[in-house]
Amino acid sequence: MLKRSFPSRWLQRQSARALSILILAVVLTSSLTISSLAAEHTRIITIGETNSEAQKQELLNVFGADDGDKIITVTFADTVEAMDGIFDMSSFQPVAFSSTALTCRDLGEGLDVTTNNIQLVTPGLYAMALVTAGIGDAELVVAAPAAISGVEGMTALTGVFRTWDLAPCESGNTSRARQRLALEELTLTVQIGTALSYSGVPNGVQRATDVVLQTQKTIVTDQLQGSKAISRALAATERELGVSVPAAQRDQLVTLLTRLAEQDINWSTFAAGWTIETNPANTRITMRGEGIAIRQAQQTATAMAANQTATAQAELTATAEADAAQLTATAEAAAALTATAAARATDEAAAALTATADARPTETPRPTETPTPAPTAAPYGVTGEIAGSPSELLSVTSAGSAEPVQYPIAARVSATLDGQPAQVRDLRRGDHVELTLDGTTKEVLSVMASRPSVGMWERLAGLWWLITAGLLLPTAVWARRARAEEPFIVRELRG
Amino acid sequence: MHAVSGSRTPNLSGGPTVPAERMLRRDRDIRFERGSPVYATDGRVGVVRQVVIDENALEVVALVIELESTGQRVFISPDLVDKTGGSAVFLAITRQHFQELVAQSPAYRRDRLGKVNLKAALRKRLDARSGRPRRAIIEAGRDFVETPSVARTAERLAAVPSVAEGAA
Repeated sequence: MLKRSFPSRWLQRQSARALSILILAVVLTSSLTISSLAAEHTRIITIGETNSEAQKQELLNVFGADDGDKIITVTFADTVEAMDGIFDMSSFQPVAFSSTALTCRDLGEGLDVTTNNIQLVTPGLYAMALVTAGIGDAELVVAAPAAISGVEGMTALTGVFRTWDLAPCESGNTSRARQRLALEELTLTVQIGTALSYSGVPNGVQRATDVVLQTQKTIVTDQLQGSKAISRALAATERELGVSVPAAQRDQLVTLLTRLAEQDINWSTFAAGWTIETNPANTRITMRGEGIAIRQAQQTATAMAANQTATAQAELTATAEADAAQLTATAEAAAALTATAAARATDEAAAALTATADARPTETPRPTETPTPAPTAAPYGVTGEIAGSPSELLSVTSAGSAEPVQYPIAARVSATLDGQPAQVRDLRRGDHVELTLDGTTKEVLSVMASRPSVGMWERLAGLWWLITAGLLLPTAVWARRARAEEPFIVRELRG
Repeated sequence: MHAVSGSRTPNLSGGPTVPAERMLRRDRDIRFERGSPVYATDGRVGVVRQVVIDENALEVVALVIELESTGQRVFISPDLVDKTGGSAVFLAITRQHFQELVAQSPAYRRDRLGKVNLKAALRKRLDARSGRPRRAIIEAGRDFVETPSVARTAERLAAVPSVAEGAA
């Protein structure tokens, strides 16, 4: 049995102390990580300042709030400040009703937005703004008290961004500049949607959202740059969706999207595009990024690195424990052994970290190459005026557009004219039509037409020749009679 | 046609005087044209609006004159016409006399006058025998009627027997 000397005892005590500190550090690090993860998934609730206590409680019930949720108040002034330079809110009532509950999600899980009693901003608009702002993985519930009508939902978006200032999700990557872009995009989209609605396009705001989101998706996936390319992408989207952005806002939209493309944004979860699911009532949207695999690959690499580190730490711990338990070796030998083990562990950890670095997501095949079933496009509507006599194609000028678009007519198309069953060939130029188009083939499935009532003057204008003839003929007869009525040579009538 | 009726006394004072060059002109025949100015010996009195004829006799029975002063229409006898020169009609009476005759002439009634089948009437002009050769129509058109002057009347009368002989 090896006799222990003083130095070896000292070394032994020092080793034990080092080991204790190391274990404590590991435990603390783990605790902090868990704490951080917990913080990520904490729900932040924003309540509009105008809500009464009862309304606030109603909203908390809607959000399913519990004691762990952080609740903050968002004021109208916050919204005005956020919209400064983007939209003049001086004409708005200084109220803030819309409220939000934002829960962080893990990277790659995408967005889930639900609205409740919000009139103007649709779930799609919120999702679009969040994507642009760089918040790609979160669950957002936006609500207003049931007793309040006409809540537009602008305060809510301000609230989301305030939430971000207080407790950003780990999976997000936002900035003031991106948030401002998001607000600009949202505002412009609402303006486009409102213009479409005024010109008779049903669900104008939703249609505008679809156009902007799809164009943005093309910009992201095709990495478009420059106003010309973006304008072409927008035009393609307009054709595909059968919606024409009013000329007054089109240039603004192209400029905004061009600026967006120039931001060199890391689109993270949505880098390879996205898919959207909307519920029938259009109060909920689920947006899943097709760059999830990339993010998951990143996660895997991070996890692998963490595992490697843990292995190294475990080996280090085991070595130290062995060293402490045996205590038969000399202190030098033990120290040397420990040092050797530590060095080896360090090397392995370094190797593991190198491996982590090698496992960069750029090496992972992009998920877009994986064949995925294309979503079946739902039928959609187009409103406008017939621009020409229907043949095999139906030429319709959409509201707000100058150029007519020709749509193929499905074999089993159904048509009504002023509420009565009709044939497509019965329609004529100028008839107002609401088309339902096949989402995939763009064929006209049904036509609801109405013929504008013709006023008396318009009817008379169509009979101009008859009126002219009606005036000229008596005049000619009168002139002839006037000329002929007095013969120069006459005879006296008898009787 | 020449019966005296009414008491209309058109005011003819102050009418234009007869142009000298017209006074000196005399056509071979008497020609009434639509709108011809009518002059008395001392001045203008109106314009010819219509000529009333007898279809059977193919002769002029009256002239319808629209008075320049009032626009009123009156009948006058073609026998009052002295001559025509160009489109002007010259009467052989003074304006005062004209005024007196007009006051006694029958009232003009448009509804009492009818159209004449001029072609049919002219077809039989050779057969017509006017009792008053100076009124006999020798030519007529849409806007004019010609009757022979005094000299022509004499010639015509001289020619008639030969025509009659030929016919016999």
